[in-house]
Amino acid sequence: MGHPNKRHLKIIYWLFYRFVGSPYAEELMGDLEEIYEERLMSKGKRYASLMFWLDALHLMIGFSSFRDFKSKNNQLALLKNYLKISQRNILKYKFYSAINVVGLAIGICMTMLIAIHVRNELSYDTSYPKHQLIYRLASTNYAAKPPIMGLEFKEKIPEVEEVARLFAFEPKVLSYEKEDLLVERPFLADHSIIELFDLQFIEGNEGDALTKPSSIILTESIANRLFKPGEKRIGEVVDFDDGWRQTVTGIIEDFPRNTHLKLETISSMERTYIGQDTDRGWAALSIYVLFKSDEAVKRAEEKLMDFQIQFFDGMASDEDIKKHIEETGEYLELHPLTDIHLHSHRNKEIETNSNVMFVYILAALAGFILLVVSINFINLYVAQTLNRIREIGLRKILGAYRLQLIFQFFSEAFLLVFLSGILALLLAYLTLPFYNDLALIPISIHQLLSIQNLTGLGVLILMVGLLTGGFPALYLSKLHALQSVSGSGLQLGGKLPFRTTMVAFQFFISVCMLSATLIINEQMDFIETKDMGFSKEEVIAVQLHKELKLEAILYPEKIKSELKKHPQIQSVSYSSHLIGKRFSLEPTYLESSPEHHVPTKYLVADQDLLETMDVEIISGSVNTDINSRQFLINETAARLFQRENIIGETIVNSWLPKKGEVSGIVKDFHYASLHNQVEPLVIEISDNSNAQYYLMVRLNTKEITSGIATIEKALLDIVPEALITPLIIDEQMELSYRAENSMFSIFKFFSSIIILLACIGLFALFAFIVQARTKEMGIRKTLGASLTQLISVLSRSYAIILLIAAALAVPLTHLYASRWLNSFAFSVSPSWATYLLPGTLVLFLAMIAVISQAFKVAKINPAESLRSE
Amino acid sequence: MKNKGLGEFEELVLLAVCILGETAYGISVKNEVEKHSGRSVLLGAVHITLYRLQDKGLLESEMGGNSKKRGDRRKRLFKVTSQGMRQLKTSQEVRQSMWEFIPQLKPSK
Repeated sequence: MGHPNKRHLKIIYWLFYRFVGSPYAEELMGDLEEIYEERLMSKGKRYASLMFWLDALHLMIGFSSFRDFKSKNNQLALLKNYLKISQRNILKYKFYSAINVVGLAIGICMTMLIAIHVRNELSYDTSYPKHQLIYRLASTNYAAKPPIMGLEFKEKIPEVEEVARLFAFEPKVLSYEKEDLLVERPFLADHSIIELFDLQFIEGNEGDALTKPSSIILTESIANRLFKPGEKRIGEVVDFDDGWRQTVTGIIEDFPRNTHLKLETISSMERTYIGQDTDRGWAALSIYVLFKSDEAVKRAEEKLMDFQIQFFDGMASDEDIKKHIEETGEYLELHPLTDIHLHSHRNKEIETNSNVMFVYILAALAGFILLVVSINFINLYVAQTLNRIREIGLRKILGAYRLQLIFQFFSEAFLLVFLSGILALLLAYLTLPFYNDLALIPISIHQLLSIQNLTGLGVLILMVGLLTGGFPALYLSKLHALQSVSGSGLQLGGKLPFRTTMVAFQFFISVCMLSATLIINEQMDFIETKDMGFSKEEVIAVQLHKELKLEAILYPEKIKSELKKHPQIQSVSYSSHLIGKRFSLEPTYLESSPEHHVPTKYLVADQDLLETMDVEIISGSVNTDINSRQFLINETAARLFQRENIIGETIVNSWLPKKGEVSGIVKDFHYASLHNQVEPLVIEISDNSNAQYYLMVRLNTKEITSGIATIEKALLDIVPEALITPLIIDEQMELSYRAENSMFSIFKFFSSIIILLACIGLFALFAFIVQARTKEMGIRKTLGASLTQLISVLSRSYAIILLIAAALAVPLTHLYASRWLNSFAFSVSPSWATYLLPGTLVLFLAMIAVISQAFKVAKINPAESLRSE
Repeated sequence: MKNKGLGEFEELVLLAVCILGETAYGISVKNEVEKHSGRSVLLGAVHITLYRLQDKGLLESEMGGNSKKRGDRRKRLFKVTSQGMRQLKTSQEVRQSMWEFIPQLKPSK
C-alpha cells in the first residue's frame, strides 16, 4: 500500500486550507490520496507523485479563482488580466519573446553552473571538522619538509596540539591473494592523521589503526575493489609494492572530491626509514599541524624564525643560518589548510593545485554573461513595450493608478524571467554532462537541485526581474495619458543613449572575451609546440613493479633486447623517475669544494635514456668502458657548480651518499612544466636496475595504441602475470597544464556563447528599431535616397558605437592577459593580430546582423510603407 | 437559475453522475468520463465542473463514505437533481431535433 509522502500531504493540506477553505479540503485531499494509490499501482511512483502535485495545484488554482476569491479580490482579478495580456503579448511577438526567454535562460543556466563550480572550488578542504585549526608547515618555495621537522615542531612549540606527516608514494600495486590493483595515490602517514582529519571508520578501530609498523588503512572504494564482497578484511595481510606485507587495520570512507588530499591507501609511518630519517635538508613530507586555538596559531607564527634557526643548529652559527635563510628566501610558513588548493603553487605539492585566478575569471564570466543577457532582455522588452504605449494610455484613461501600471509591468517582466528560470534549470540539467567534461570537478545533479542553488536561482530571478521590469515600469507609467494614446511626442527611433550605451558595453565584453580566448590559445599552442629539449612524442613509460621489477633486476638486458626485436620499437631504457613528473631533489656538491652545495634534481637512468628521450649531449660523452659511477649534468647545473671545466670533476650526492665523475653535459631540457625554469639536474648513469622504476620505450610509429599493445604483448611474453600500466609521456606532461586546459575550454565555451548572445540581441533589437523607422525610410526613398544611402543611414551610428567598444576593449585585455602570461616562465608575446582580429570579427558579425535588417526595410516599396494612415 | 444550456464537458460530467447513481464523487466521475469519452481528464477539471453544476442547481451533494484508502477522509457524493435531469433531456431533445435536419443524413428518396 502506498501513500504520498507525509510532508507533501502536509504542505498541500495547508495550501488547501489557506487558499481553498476547509470545507473543500477534506474531500479534495481524500480524492487526491485515493487517485495516488491507483496511479501508483498502474504507472509507478514517479508518475503518481508528479500527477499528485499537478492535480493538487490545478485544484487549488481552479477553486481559488472559481470561489470567493473572485468577488473578494479585485487586485487579484486585475493580476489575472495582466497575466492574460502578457500571455497575449508573448504570443503576438513570438520571435522576440522566444529570443528573450531563451537568451535569458541560457544566461541564467550558465551563471548557475559557474556558481556551483566556484562553490566547489571554494569549498576545498572545508569538510574536515577541524579545518580552521589545521595548517601546513612548509616554506616559501617548498610544500614538503624533512621528516624530522614535524617531530621537532611538535616537541618544541607548545601551541601545537598534534602533527601528522604525510608522504606521497608513486603509484603502487596492492595485492591480496590473486587480486592485483594499481593504487594511484598511496600514502604513508602518522597515526595522528586519523585525529587531524577525523577519518571516518567503516571497519576497524581508529584507536589502533596505523599504530603498528606495516599496518595499512584502505578507503572504501579501494577495499571494495581488492576484496570480494563478504570477505573478512580487517586483520588480513595485503602485499604492498613487491613484498612489503601490511596488515589491514581499517577501512575508511573515501575522501571527499573537494580536497587536495585524495588519499587512497594510508600505510603506517611507524618505524619506516622515511618517518625516522634525520636529514635536515630532505623536503619529503607534507606536514600538517593541528593547533590548540586561533591565538595559538598567531603565537606559533612568531616563533617560526627561531624554530628554523634552531632546526639547523650546529650546522653553522646562528648568524650564518639567518643570513643563509635571508639569501635563499626560504622562510618557514604556516599555510592554512583551506588556502592550499587555490593559493599554493610550490614545489612538491601533493597535487597540481588550482588557482584562485580561475575562480575570479569564472565569476567574472558569470557576471558578463548575466549582464549581456540582461541587457538583451531590457533592450528587447523596452522596445516591445514601446509598441504598447496606447494600451498604457487607455488604462490610464480608464482610471488605472500609476502604481497599478508599475505593478503590471513588473508582473509581466517577472513572468518572463520566471519562465526563463524554469527553462534554465532544465537547460542546466541537459548541459551538465557537457560542462563536466570541461570542468575538473564534476557537478552532480544533486548539487544542481540543492536548496542553496534553488535559492540562488530565486534571488537571481528576483534581481533580473527588478532590473528588467524597472525601466518600463517606471518610465512608461510616467507618460501622460493623452500623449500616449495619440502616440505623439515619443521617440520610437531608439535614440535613447541608455540603450546604445548598453549595446556598446555588450560588444566591449564580446571583444574582450574573444581576444582573451585567442591569447590563451596562442599560449597553449606555444606550450604544445615549444621545443622542450627532448621529444616527448611517441614515448611510452611502463612502471616496473612486482614480477616485472624482479625480471628487470635479474635480467635487465633481456627485457630490452626482447622489446627491441619489434620493428615498432626504436629504443628502450630504464629510468628512476617519470620524465615530466617531479624528480627527487638531492643536494650535491663537487668533491673539490665541499662547502658549495647545489640543490639538484636527481635522476638515475641507463645510457640509452639519452637516445630514448632524444636529449642532446653538448660536451663530453658517456664512457661505456668504465665500471665506476658516472654522472651527466645539465647546462643549468654546470652553471651553478661554477666551474670552467667540470668534466672529470667528482660529484658527491650528499644524501645517498654516492660519488662519481662528471662525464658529460646535456642540453637543458624541460623535464617539468613550462611554469618553471629548467632546474639543475644530475643524471646518474647506471645499469643497476635496483633504482629503476620505469621502462621508457620510444616507438617508431605514430600509432600509439598499437605501439602500446605491442609493448604489452612483448612484456607479457616475458613475464606472464605482470600488471602492465603504460603511460604516454606526452599525456603525462599535459597533466601539468590540466588547470590551464580546463580553464581554456571553459573560456572558449563561454566566450562563444557571449558573442552569440550579444549578436542575437543586437539583431533582435535592431529589427525592432528598423521596423519603427519604416515610414522614415519610405519618405527618404520617395525623396530619392538610394539603397546604399538608406542602409548607411540606418547602420552608421551602430558601426561607430561598435568601433568605439572594440577600441576600448584592446588595452583592457592586454593588461589582464599579460598578467596571466607572467605566471609562465616561458610565454608568448601576443601579436597585434590577436588584438585586432577579435574586434574586426565581432564588428563584422554585428554588422551582418544590422545590415541584413536594414536591407530588408530599405527594400520595401515606399507605396507599401507609407500606405497606412 | 435560468436555463443556460450545458457546455460539452459539463454534459459529460452530468451524464456520468447519472450513470453512477449513488456512488458519484470526484474520482469515480473522472473515471467514468474517461471510460466513455476515451480522453484523459484532469481531476481538478472534474471537481470544478461538479461544483459549477451544483451552483446551477443541476446537482446536489452530501458528504459521506469515508474509507481507509482515502486517509479516512469523507468524499462528497453527488446526485443529479430533477432540474438536472430535465436539463439533460432538453439538451438531448435539442440535438435530436437538429440531427433530423441534417440533409446528408436523410434517407435518399
